Amino acid sequence: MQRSLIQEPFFNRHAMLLKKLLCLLWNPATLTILTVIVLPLAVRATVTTTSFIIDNENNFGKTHSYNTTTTYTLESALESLTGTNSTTSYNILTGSGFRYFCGDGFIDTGETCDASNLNGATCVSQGFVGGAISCNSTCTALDTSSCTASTTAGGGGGGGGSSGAISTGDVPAAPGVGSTFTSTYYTYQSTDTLYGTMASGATITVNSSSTSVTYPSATTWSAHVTLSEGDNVFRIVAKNSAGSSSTSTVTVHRRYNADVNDDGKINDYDLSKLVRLWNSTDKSADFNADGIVDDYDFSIFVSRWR
Amino acid sequence: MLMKQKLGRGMILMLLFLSFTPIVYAAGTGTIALEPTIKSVKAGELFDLAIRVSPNGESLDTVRVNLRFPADLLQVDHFTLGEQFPRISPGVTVDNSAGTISEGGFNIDHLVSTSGIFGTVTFMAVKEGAATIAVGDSSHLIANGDEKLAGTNLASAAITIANAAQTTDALTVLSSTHPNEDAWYSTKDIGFTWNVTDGITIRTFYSAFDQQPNTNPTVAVAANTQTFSKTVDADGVWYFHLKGQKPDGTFTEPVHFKVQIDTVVPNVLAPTLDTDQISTKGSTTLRFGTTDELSGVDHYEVSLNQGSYSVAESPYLLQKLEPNTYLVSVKAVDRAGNAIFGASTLRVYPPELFPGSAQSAAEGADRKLLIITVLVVAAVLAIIMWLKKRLKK
Repeated sequence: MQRSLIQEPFFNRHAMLLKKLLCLLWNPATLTILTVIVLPLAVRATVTTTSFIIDNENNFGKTHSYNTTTTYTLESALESLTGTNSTTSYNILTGSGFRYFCGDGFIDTGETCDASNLNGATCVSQGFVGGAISCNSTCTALDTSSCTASTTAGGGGGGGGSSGAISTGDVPAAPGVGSTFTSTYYTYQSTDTLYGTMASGATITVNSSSTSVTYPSATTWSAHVTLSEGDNVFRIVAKNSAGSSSTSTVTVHRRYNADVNDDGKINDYDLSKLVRLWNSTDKSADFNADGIVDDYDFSIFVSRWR
Repeated sequence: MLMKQKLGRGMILMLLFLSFTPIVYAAGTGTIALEPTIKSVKAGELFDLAIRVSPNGESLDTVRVNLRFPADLLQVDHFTLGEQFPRISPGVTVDNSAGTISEGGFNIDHLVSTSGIFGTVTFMAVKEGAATIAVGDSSHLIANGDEKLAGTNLASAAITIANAAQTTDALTVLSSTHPNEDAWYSTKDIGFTWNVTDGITIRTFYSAFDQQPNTNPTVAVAANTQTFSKTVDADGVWYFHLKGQKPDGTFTEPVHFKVQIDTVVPNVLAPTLDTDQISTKGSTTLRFGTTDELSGVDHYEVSLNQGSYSVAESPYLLQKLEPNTYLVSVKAVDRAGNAIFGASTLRVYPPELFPGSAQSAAEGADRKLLIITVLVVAAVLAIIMWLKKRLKK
């Protein structure tokens, strides 16, 4: 027999509704919803004058905190930070308060370079002919003051890129690729910086990604890329605001480190080549790319011996 | 006609034979010789075998000499690198079970164009017999990456090992500073003492201290002196030799006590990481290696952020690390305990902050949202179905 709520007496109807509501709350599905959505929202950051909870969702590491009236200790993955707080501000007593800092050698958020880590940039990749490039003291920009004779087109003699401005309807010229990247070019490093020229106003993607692409000038581009051992093919696409695009391709060969004669083995013949290049700047034995073949390269050679 | 056919077949067979003949490259004129080529020793004796490299017109930079020997008759005690190629190569091995030794060296100061001693192998004669020590065909004399070893006529040495006369050891030499003859030490001040076996009278002791394993001692020592001390001026393998003269004028068998000293740290150590930035979910490989000319590298140790060092081998996998910037230090320790350090830095990011992972982080967030949405929809559907069922009842 089918029952209808309308047919129930008034009191019974409300009792039934209450019972159903309780059952609804006690239902596993409802509890799941409460656990997944409602509870996390309820415990999100709150700040009052004498207590606070730091929401660590977007912070580096698993930062958490506890406080006693007006002092606090932050424990982070990199360094602990102690201080005092007053209402809505705080004073740091110990610790820099930064999880990473300019000068640690790693390029972190807000940094263009860090110490000797230039993100692969060279004077040539920045549109100059040569010279020494460095990182400024605040890690926010490359210091190109010691680079020499900027080329007019930029990009160190890219292979065919146009430096002229383009209208949105034009198909941009194929991006130029730096003259360094010839068919015999190779590196031992796991990263490299591609660079070249482009039409003014174009945007560049490297293998469909624009994440690492920077524009040293209006007509030059550069991109820090990761390399696997062997040939790495990069498809560089220049696109204008109308969506028209053209493509260039460059292949970068990453050698197995210490394989001086590139025969796939690290043995006495490579050692002989290394010995002949001792104290030279020849990159085929300069495994750590520090500009000289020396004991540091020999140590790397030993570690790769097989 | 038949003759021509036979000749043709012969030519084909000859070509086939030649095509299957192992190719032995004789690209140069350099030779490897062993000195001496003939030697007689007694069982239990140490003896030296020098390896001579003659460039014969070549300008060599690198050498590798592999020797084979009968392991039941001979054992390698140690190898001493000469001055011709003063740097030791990686991949040097001694296998006294298989009867092989592989030693390599190189010269970064100048090219080697004159004959000289590459190194000396000191063997221990184990038991009576006739042993042949031969240069293996995988040996190399190299100049700028090219083989310069001449031909296949590789050298060998014939060693005749006689039984040692069964004599009572009249003298026993001890060292309180360097007690273990097979160990390497980093102290140059050495002290010896000796005892005379009960029942034997010694009128005069004769001693010597040098770098030869079997020197006959001739320097007289007062009979009431039974100690000897020496501060050596150079690292290497040294020997204290002692014999005694009995009242009847006869001599005891000489005793040779070996001391191995290495005070120099291993060569530069430059550890590298395959990648110096990883996420907590990722891993990277630390690679390290170096050489030590004298005692050799005994082991490596790795430490993170100046914590305690633990023994490790290259390649060394770094994974499951908390977010942090790590100073990865490596220590190479030689057999005498001398150590050299090298370090590399590693940055470990939380996945969402890993450089270049913005897209993946966004994708991760999208996936999270999708999962939550699916869960909510499923829950709502479950509630509706449950309500419908209840209403039907």
